[in-house]
Amino acid sequence: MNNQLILDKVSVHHQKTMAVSGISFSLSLGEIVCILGPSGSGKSTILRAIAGFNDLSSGSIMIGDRTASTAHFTLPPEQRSVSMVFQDFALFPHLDVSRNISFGLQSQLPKKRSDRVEEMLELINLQDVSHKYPHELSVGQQQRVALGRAMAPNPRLLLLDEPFASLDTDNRNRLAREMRKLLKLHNITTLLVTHDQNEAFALSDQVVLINSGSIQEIGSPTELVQRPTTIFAADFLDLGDLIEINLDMGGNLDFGLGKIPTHLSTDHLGKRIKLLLRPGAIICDDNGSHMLKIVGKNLLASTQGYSLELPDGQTVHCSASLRKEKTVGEMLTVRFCLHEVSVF
Amino acid sequence: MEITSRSDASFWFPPSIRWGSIGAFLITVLLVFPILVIISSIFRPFGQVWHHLLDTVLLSYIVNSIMLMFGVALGTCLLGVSSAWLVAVCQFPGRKTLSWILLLPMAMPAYIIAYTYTGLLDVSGPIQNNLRAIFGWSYGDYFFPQIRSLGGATCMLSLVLYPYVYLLARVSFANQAGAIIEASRNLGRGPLSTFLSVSLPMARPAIIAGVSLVMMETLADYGTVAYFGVSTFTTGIFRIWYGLGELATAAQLSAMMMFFVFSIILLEQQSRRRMRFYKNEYRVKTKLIQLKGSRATIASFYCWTVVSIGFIIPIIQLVVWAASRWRENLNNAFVNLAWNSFLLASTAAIICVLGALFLSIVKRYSKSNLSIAQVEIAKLGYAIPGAIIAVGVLIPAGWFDNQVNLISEAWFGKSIGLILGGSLGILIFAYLVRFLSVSLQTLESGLSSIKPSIDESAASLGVSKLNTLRKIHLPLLKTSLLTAFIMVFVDVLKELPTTLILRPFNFNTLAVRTYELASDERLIDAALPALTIVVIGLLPILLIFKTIAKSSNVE
Repeated sequence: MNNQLILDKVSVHHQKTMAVSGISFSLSLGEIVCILGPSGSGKSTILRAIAGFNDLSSGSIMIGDRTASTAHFTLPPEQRSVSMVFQDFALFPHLDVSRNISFGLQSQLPKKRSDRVEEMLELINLQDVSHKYPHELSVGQQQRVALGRAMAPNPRLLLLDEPFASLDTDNRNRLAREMRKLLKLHNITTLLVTHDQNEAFALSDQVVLINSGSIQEIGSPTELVQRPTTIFAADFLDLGDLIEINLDMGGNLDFGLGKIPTHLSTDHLGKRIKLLLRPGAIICDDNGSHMLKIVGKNLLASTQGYSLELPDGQTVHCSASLRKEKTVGEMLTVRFCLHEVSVF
Repeated sequence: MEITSRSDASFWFPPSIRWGSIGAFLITVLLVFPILVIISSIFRPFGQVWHHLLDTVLLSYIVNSIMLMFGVALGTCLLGVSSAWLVAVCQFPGRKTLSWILLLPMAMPAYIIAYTYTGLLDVSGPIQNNLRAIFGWSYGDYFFPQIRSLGGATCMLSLVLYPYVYLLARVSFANQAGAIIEASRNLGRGPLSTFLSVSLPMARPAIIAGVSLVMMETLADYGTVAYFGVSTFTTGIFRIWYGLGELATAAQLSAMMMFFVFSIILLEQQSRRRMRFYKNEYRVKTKLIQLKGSRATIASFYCWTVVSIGFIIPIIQLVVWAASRWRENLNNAFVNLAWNSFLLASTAAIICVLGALFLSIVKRYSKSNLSIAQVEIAKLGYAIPGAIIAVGVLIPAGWFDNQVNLISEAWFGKSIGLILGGSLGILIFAYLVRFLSVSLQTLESGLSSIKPSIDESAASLGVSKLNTLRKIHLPLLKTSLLTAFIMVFVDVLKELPTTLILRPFNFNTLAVRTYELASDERLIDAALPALTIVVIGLLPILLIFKTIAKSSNVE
């Protein structure tokens, strides 16, 4: 196994309250993993524990073949060969771009050091501002400097804390894709933390979804979207409408609109289930067999989104073409297409 | 209602606030006038005394002043930075208490600590007496450093001026982003290397700003160097004016000194500009370094030693001296002295606060480049040593008195004597030149915390500017006004050279009396007025601490 990082049942306390508990996952060489979760879920705590800024209360962290943290021992941050890109970049304001990048190279010979700085400047494409100070740079440039500075010492592991939070949304996805290309090209093992699923999906091979200090799911972005196993995942990733509904022994759903047949597995039969209706599960169709009341609408770029009320009062969503617009309070004719539903 | 409020506004501030601007302009001109007088003196012919000066003592004035300034800069840097770092970054028993206790030496004017330690350390003082008694030595048997020296003056000034560096450095260390320190650790630097290559350089502008304030104070000091017999610019100015009566030459020497003053002002302003770039924009603060066992004890002991030498020991000595003679010294003459000082300081403080209020309000309302420049110019006064301002005030006052007398002799056949010279008026004017900046800074920061949108909302509700001032600004500025008053009050109380040169004949203050008694080697009698100055001097320090405690940044 060429695992670069192994977390084994890691728990961290902040002033006696549990911040994260029982976290286990690992990263192999060159892998990009993202810890995704809402703010306050403890994802930064995990990152800081890996960097050596938080002590563990139980469990262990291995970096390479070295034990970095246990409940009784914390290897100082400077001995871990782990580089972090901080949320606000934390560039040294008193050093120019070149000297920020060379900061982590002080153990190397001057010649080797300046070569490495040149290499990094080229990599992040900032050769022309190498003598500028952080406050003279744009936010995007600052981020690249932070990345170059972290990559310069050739760390075993790169940590990114909300790397795009300071950037505007237009740039985020493009930069995330660029960064993935760069990290993959240099085969850099990376762990990042974010609350933005688009960032997570654009950058990472594996996503660790966490909530309230514990892991909910681990999987590739596709797995997570296609086969979420927890309600939290379905809800947090905003995969569609979650409704509660009865499934009868014959495998039919009862929306109060007459029975709708499904092909759901037998262990849910006869139970009240939670059902994830993805976009596309309800289709606006004049030939459909069901009428639902429109309780709200919002214009999307090329379609009209409708909020529809089920007979039992739950709300579902559906989009329709802009051509025949309806008003709130009217009925919309729909049909159900339940091929890709998830049940919890 | 609306009409009356508009009309009284237009009485004070016609549409363009013309009168306010003119008033502010006149005040500024008045404030810079003494400084211009000094600078213009280099274009006057240099007299015989100047050439004599050049041949004999001028070089020693310059060398001593420079050595003193750099010595004190170094001393305050060592004391201020080390204590600030311990208190801001480390956790050890007594840290919170020490964070404000370390400010106390600020209350101690340098000339007072100087003569207190002279009493303690002199050949006949308790320390050497005890040493001789314990070891059976007699005078001349042993080496003991001479306190009345350049080195002694450097130590004394460092001990009471380090809080300037401490104050600015501590805020800078405490506000340094946790993330920046962590970034350095993360890139392979240990705690010591992080301190040397990140924390210290990032605090450097703040430290230099503190050190430049220290250098201004050092350059302005007269009491300490005069008492220790060290020849510097200030003692030179006194010698030329008192000893030789050569006001023109004193002005020329002052002009030369101004070169140093302006260099320090430039240094200070440059570092303040840099401080902006290093400002903390991050949310996470560094975790305090937990000092344990002997390290914690050493840290705590070190800080307490600094405060003890700079404040506690001298204050105990002063109390002992004052108590030993309080029956003789606490008499009508002392009450008279205290009353004089109180009247002088409070008059000067009220005028300074009013002037500062006027300038800062005009700046707020007119927002013109001129009014901004005026405020900046008015702030320069604090950098100019009191002795220079005194000379700069004395020259035009003397010229005015001469002219009046010439006219009166021509018209009425008799002279009417001094009008401005030797009056309390010019003394207070000199204080205004020097200390208006103190109140101006306080009021400006107070005003800046009132958002401009408040003025705008008042205006949109139809309230005139004068009423906005009365009903909104003044109530909100109450604390700032009081703080400004106390700051100036205490500065005037402590100020020695300006008062010595400009005071009316036979008019004494606590500071002057302390200095006179100490110069006459009546150290014990000097203790009571000295102690009074120090105790009142504690007031602004409590205020400073309260403001810092309020801004949650620091703790």
